[in-house]
Amino acid sequence: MTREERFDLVSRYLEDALLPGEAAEVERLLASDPEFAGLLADLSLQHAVLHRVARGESQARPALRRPAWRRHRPAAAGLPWIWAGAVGAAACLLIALAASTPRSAAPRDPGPRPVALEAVPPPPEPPPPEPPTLRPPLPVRPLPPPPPAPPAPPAPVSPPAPDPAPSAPLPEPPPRQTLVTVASLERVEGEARLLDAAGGDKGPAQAGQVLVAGEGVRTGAARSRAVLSFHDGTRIVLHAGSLLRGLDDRPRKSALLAEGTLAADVVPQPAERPFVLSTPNAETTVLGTRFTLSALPDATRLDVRSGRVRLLRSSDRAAVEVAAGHFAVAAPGAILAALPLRTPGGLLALYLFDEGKGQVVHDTARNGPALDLRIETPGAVRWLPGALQVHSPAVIASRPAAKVAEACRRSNEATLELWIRPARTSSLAPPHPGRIAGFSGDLFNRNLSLEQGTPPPLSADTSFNLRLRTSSTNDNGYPPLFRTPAGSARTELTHLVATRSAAGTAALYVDGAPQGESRGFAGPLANWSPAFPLVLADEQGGGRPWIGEYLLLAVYDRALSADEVLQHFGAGPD
Amino acid sequence: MAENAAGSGSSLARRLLEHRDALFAYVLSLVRNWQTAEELFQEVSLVVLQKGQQGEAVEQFLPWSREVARRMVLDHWKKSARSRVVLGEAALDAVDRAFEERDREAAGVDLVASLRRCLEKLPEHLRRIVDLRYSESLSLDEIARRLARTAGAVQVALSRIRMKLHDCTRRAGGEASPA
Repeated sequence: MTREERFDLVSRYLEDALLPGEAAEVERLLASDPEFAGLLADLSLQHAVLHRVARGESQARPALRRPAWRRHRPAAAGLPWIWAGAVGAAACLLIALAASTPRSAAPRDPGPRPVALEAVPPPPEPPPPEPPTLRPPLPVRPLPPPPPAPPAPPAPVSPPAPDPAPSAPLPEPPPRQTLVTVASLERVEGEARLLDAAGGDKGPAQAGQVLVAGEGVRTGAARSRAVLSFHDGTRIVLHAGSLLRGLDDRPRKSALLAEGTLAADVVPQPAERPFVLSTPNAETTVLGTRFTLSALPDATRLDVRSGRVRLLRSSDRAAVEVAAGHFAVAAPGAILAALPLRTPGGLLALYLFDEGKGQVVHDTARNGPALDLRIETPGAVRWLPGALQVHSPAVIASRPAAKVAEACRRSNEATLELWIRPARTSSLAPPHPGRIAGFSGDLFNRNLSLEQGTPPPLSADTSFNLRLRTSSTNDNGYPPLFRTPAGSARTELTHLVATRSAAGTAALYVDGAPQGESRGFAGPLANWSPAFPLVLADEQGGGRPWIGEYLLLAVYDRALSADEVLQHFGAGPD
Repeated sequence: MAENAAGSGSSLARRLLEHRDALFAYVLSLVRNWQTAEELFQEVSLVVLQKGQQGEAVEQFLPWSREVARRMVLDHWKKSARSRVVLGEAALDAVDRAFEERDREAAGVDLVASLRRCLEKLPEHLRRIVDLRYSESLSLDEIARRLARTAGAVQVALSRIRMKLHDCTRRAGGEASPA
């Protein structure tokens, strides 16, 4: 065997790409040839260390940067080295040690990236929510200093005026101009630009900035997002690729969504002064509700999650009242009607977490035998209105979910949809990702799982992860590692969806927005085990706890489309 | 590499941190799959740190921690029906010896710095493959699709890259080490 052949054999061994019969050859060589064993040791070490070395290099070379949605995926980079967090006091020591080592001293973030649109820094931990009524009034933005006065023209020659008497009154100063703020930017992700009342660009929008009457915000592409907060607690989340103009709150709140999508959570408005939100071809009148509004090129779509919203089509003044759980589209020539939001097709299991008491969460899908969940640790949970709060490590599991496994094996598709409110932004037991929900037997065997937190070295990372077993992954549902970008997980109400289509594409969505796709889960779902139960908040044997609130969980034997996911986001958890 | 007895939690944690690469590489060399290696390495780390908290003394940290890892890998193989390569006792012993040998050779060698320098010397097209494989964690198939090549060609290229880097780091280690 030549040297090249030996390297090739060890290399393929490490890539798990041996040909039939070569495994025995590797074992024979390991046992009989110390040099071959040494080569395996060398290349294993190189393989391990290359992950973090290469990662550092890629950050320094923009030409090889990851696609935007993968930019903050920690990859399988680096070694697990902050595991000590799982064992109390040792954690502190390790973190302290890590901070003092050259490896951890290397900057994780190379600094400002050249293309701001693609740079999505993880947002800071959100401050604790405040009751809207206690929200302090937004500051009045001071006027910019006046431009310097032009040089005075030469005065005409005239007889000198008499000196004014010392007691003569001073000329009246011009009235002071005051700009009243309408809203503030609570958070900005990706790129967003502030616009003046005429639509002119005022520069990058940043968290903490205030908007005065007439101003607006434009969000960039990809995962850009801007969150606006009004004095009364009303919030608007402006999604990527959107333009919101003409913000005002006098005599009533109003704005124009010129393009894109926004999600609004409007606190009750005075009946005589409803919030009027317009698009180029429609107008919504809102008294207090949660809804999503999309301004499409020739249409306006309204999805109402709670309350009622009136949608008026500008072209013919036709109007429809859209109630919670419904949507309507205003488009020329189309029927203007309110339709139900959630799509029932392919629904295998549905949990609404509205039991309010007891140790059973009921499957309300009415599709085959009910797959109820049993709370084995009632002391670790608390029932809230419309939600189940898991406040400490818990065991919540169903019996074997055969109906799910069999249906998904037949269709080769699956969707797991969740409405949750994480209690933390990262894993409870780093470096292990916390298991939000999944169909698994133990730590090493699963059909499908959604998790929060990432493996080391970015144990403080704040993303959601998908593991999905197919014929091309291992029994644990990877590789690939498929994650949402860092910063996706927040201690807020979150809509999280994972889909796998028969074409082999997996997709993750957060709050209706696609977080990327992976072709790494190709192959049939024929190896899904019917013996795995649906498990929430941990693995069956423990060790991977997740804490937070569950508001809705749905399982489908088909891949929801991106439009349907957005529709379900609009529907909300109610 | 001479090792002092390490018994306290802090001492074991320090040792674990110091030797994380070597220990992880050992696990990786047996299970080959990166994610499985990560899971097992985390379990090994917990056992090591729990020993430290219990005040147990450890004379030879690396051999001892490798023994812990070896038992966990064997346990994993018993549970996992899909492992296509399960090494026998003789091969496992040989791998152990090889890593012990590397422990001695690696003393004082900064492999991270060496690899960084050696990567700089690679041609750009090979560095791109390294990036796709290690920075983006793409599979061979995904890399092949990205580069419009076959998975076999990517595997061959990766093998050559590893040989070049191996030779380069060996030279760098030799240059850095005292005669």
